[in-house]
Parts: sequence; C-alpha cells; structure tokens
Amino acid sequence: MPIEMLVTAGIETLLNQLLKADANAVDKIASLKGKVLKVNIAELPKPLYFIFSSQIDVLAKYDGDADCCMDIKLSSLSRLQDSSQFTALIKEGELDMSGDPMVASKFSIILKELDIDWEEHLSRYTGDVAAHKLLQGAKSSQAWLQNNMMIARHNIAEYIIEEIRLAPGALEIANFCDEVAELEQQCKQFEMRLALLSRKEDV
Amino acid sequence: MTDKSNNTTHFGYKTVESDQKVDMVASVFHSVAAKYDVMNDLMSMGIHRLWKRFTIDCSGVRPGHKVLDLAGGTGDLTAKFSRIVGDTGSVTLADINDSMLKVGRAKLRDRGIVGNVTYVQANAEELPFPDNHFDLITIAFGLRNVTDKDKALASMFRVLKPGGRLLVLEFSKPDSEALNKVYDFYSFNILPKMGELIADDGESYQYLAESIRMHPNQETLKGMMETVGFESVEYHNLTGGIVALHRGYKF
Repeated sequence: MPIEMLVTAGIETLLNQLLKADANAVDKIASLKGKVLKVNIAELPKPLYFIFSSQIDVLAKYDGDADCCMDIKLSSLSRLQDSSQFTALIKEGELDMSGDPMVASKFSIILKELDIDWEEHLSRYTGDVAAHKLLQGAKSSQAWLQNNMMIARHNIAEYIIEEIRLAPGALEIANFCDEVAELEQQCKQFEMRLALLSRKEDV
Repeated sequence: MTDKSNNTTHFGYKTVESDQKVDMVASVFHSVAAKYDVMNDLMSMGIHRLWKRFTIDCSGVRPGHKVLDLAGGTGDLTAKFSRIVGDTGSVTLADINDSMLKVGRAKLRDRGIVGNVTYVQANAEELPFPDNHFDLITIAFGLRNVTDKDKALASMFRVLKPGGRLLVLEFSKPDSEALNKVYDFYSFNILPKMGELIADDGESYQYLAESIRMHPNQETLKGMMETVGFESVEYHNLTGGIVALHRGYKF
C-alpha cells in the first residue's frame, strides 16, 4: 500500500507544483475540468488515474469510468510530450488509446507548453540578484558543458579515424561509395553487352 | 465503550461520567485546532497523508456522489472528495467541534474549494440527515472520540444509501510485538513532549495516546460494524496495524 500511495502522491505533488508555477497553465487545466484520464503503464502493476479539476488529483484506484484510457510502455512515455506523435505511436503498437483522445492530447499540450519563469520563482527565496546570478551561472555552465561535449565528441572521432584507424573518414566513405556506384554501372553495362552478344550468337 | 449501568465511559485512561466526555473531548480539540495540521504532519512524520490517500482510493467515489466526511476536522479528505465529485456531487463536512470546523472552513476557502461543500456541526451519534442520503461516509481519526460508538455507527448506517459504503480510518493495534513496543515508547514518551513543545499542550497529546489504546482493535470494530447492519466488512492494516481502514457496505 504505502509504495503505491507514495508514487501517486509524488506524481500529484510534482504536477501541481509545476502547474502552479505557470499562471497560464492553471487556466488551461480548467478546460479539462471534470475529465478523467486513465494511464496504464505496462511496467507498473496498477493504472494511474488523473482527475482534472482546478488542479490534478492522481489516484491508483477509481470506480467510475475514465473519459480516456491510454496503454503505454514506460520507454515511450517521453514521446507523449508531442501530441502529434500519438498516431505514430499507435501505428507502432507502442500506444493503445480508447475514449476521447482530446483529453490526452490537451493534457500533453498543457505539459509541453509549461512556461516557467524559474528566475522569478527562485527570487522569492533568494532575492533578485542571487536568483539572476544563479540562473545566469546555470545557463553559462550549461553552454560550457555543451561546448565541451562537442569538442570531446570531435576529439574522439578524430582519434578513432586518424590515430588508430578503426573507422574510415567521411571522405574515404564518400570515395568508396562512388567506387561502388561506378562498379555497379560497369556491371550493368557488362550484363547488357553480354545479353547483346548472346543474342547475336543465337541468330 | 460506554458502561451504561453506571453511566461512565473512558476518557483516555480516566473514567468519567458519560455526559462529561463530550465536553472533555471538545476542550482537547478546541485547544489543538489551530496547530492540528502541523502536529499531524510532525507526529506521523507525514504518513497520515498516505493513510488518507489510501482511504480515498478505497472510497470508490465518482462525480455526482454525495459524501459525508464525519469528524472531518480540518478538511483533508473533504478537499479531495470535493474535486472528485465535481459540480453535480456534494460533500458535507461535519464535526462536533466548532473550532475544528472553523479552521477547516477557513482552510478550504483559502484553497478555493467552494460550491459543493457544506459545513455542519453535528454529533455522530445523532446525525441530522434524512435516511438513505449519502453514497459514502468517511470518519477519519474521529470514531475514537465518540462517546457511544455503537450508536454512532447505527446512525451512520441509517443515513447511508443502500449500496453506499462506510470507511473508518482509525488508530488500531500493531500486529507485531516489536512494533508495539517502539510505538508505545513513542506515544507515551515522545508524543506528549512534542505536544508540549510545539502546541504548548502536552495533556491533549497524552489523551491522544491513551485514547488510541482504549479504542477497540481491528476484529472488535469489525464486529461492531456488523452488529449495526454493515455487510462485507473488511479491514486493511496500514503501517503494521498502527492504523486500520475498515470498510463496510449497506445493501
């Protein structure tokens, strides 16, 4: 019992805190008022029910009928962020949906469009200057990290191609592909020539 | 339980006149109302929220239902029920103690929970509602304080619709001896100290610990529910039996 309750409590608190942080989201969630979304995650033993009102309540058990029911694997959960992926997911057999799909897609859009001004919220606890500095710091360290990742990737690629010659370079591959294409062309020409010659022989 | 022959009942470990218990319980809750939520979180280390979540999961409540949250105190369950039953349903928060009711009402209004919630000051033994009225009745951590529990259960049975259910969330008896020891130490040594320190009211929390020990255990309460007419009565032990959720149906 307590584990399930911890899961639903955790998800519920997280969702509602996120919604509260974005003033527009609260209005948007009101458009779903009274709807119930059932999400069956294949890896979890119990479904999750999302009940929409002025906020979201998450239950592990609900006796009423859900307006929309989704069956999905944990691994595909992140793709739900983009509601245009729904049809693709259904075709791939990763997602099964019944009921009113608008409930699910609206919910996904609300979560995707969450626009949270972290600096504003942080400033309430730390003051404006510290919040600004912290976020600036976070942004610049993110940029630094991305930059270094790119350099590292480049260096590793160079080492593999040039130093230990484990993989061919881009130019080599292009050249090889060209040669293959040329060989294919020659093969075709040879086949046609052979066909022509053998026909002459018959005549 | 009330001993009707000489009209006395227990108040914690003390024995008092039956007609005094109501006032004595009332004074406990008048004195803790303001700090009730903080103390609940502290004393149970937040676990009371999980117990209440479990109660909601077991409630089977749906949009349009009529819910009675008895001894609802500061309205934790009412808030959630109000959102689930929606505009077509209704939730009645009833408490015998007007201090608790006021704190509950102020809290729920601050959170924007209005419209489908009504507040009634009522004694669980004499519920002021028509017969067959509610789809669900919950009483969370309240039955313990009622003077005549059998009368209260019968009164709940009367106002419940056929097909409706009663959920009783209440302290009970831990099922392992080791847990019992730790729990006893906690409730008689640490709890009143915490009450003293935070709510400046050690006595009320001493009463809490004592009243929990005097409350009927799982099987006894199940029997009491069956006696007044509830059917398919079952209970779940939560956190090793420190708390138990009893569920019974009226058919």
